[in-house]
Amino acid sequence: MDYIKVDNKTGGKYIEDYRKLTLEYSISVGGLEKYFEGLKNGVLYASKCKSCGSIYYPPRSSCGKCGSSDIVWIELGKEGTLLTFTEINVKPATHSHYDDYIIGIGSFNGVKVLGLVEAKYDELKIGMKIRYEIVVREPENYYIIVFTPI
Amino acid sequence: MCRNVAVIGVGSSKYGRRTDVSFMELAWEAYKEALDNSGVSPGDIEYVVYTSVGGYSPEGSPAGILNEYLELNPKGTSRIEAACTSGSAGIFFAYNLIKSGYADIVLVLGIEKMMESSTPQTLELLARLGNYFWEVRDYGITFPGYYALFMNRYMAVYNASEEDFCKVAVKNHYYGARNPKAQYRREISLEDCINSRYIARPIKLFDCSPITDGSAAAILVGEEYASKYSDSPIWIKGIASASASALLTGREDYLSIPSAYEAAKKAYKMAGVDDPLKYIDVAEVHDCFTIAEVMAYEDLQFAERGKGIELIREEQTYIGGKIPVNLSGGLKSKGHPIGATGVGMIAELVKQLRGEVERDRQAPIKNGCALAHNVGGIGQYAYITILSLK
Ligand SMILES: [Zn+2]
Repeated sequence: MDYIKVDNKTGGKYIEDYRKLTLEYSISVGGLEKYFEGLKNGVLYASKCKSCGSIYYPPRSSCGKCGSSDIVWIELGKEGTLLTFTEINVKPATHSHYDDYIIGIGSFNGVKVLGLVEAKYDELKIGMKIRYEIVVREPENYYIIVFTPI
Repeated sequence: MCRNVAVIGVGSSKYGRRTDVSFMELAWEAYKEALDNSGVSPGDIEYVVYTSVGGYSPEGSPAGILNEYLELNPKGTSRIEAACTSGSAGIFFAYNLIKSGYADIVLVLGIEKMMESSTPQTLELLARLGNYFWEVRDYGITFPGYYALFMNRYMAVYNASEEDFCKVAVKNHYYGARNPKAQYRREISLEDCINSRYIARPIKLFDCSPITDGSAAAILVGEEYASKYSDSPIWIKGIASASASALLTGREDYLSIPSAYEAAKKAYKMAGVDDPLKYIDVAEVHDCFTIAEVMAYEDLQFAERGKGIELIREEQTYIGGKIPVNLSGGLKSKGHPIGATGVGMIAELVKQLRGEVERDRQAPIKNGCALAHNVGGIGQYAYITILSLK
């Protein structure tokens, strides 16, 4: 059995690991159920501390600044500004089944949000007006924030 | 205890696609070299800090198996992880172990053997050094992608071009070609870089540091031991760490790495450096991507905000310029074995200060002062270390 292989680039010898490991996790959402419920309904929530007024996106269920757990959910306005963007051409293992995709950071009333950008790369300009919507992404069927130029 | 701490021995494996050696053998290369040029015998070492991010090769807890292979049992040990600053964090812990008086002689050994993973698996693991839950899982951002967001914004705000950034790659390959331990020992032209394919637009293949196998080691001692072992101990004059949001959306802007700026301010104060351009003879900075080197110029106050790009346009970071940067080839050409990188920077700078590197990449040493700038993740970690001959 020829199980010692040769790396043609270096001549180094290796054994391909015959133990394969798939990592799977069940990720707790803690006190953020409202946020994920919001995505289902097309609404993007940030959290706001009732005590000191700090706004968090992504949201959190207690305020890191003043320690209060008194939180209200605020809906982010749909229109904002594109701060920066990139097109991912070489994809990580778990995203290799998608075509090249553009991601960007938008500012919505001063709250920064990461989203997928639905546009041609060359049409995008830093500082341009965008709007977001929540879309179901195939084939995983998960909710994702999508920016489009206005 | 307020005794000073010196580096008395350093070593580094050759960086690259090291499928010719096992994980243990790779560690051995750096360890052996550091031991030999420190004059320390293994029995003198009191504690061993391993720095490795892990996951790229299959061992789950490398410190234990490495300590055994290097015949360092029963010395105490642990592995330190802070993404791409793991190596500098290891130096920081070793420094403080000695400073506190707990130990007199400490070994730091950084190692990453990334070629044991496939490229898509490596990209996935690297991306997860940001915030997986909020930014990686749903949006599929990659490591080049993080820095591409900075590069696009920098180009728009400060009127820089993709070509400008390629000049960083050209410089670092120029010096890497002269470093026998570098992964890519060849010069590249501006056209090679400009014409390379996009990885995360506007970042191209030649804007990126490679995936690398490598190890590096440093032996640190308290001042009473420095002259016993070494004629040319290199003193740690300043060492500082700072942090910033790991979430992209938690950042004020995308034009600098605020943790690096904070850490540099602290390290300069500790070392009594008021004007870095006046004191520092040579710097190794964290050029995981070309944009990262340009932001480093500004975060380290080598240039004003928005003017970092001019330093490279004017070739001021070559030997003979205002401040030579990355004469090892940097992460870009020397390579970036992530958990070993910070230790590798110290190994390079110790040799620079001792005048021991290849002649055509040796910085003129006037003040005897060198700086290492190491950034981890998307800048949630930063470490700055200032070394001195005196
Ligand atoms: Zn609060």
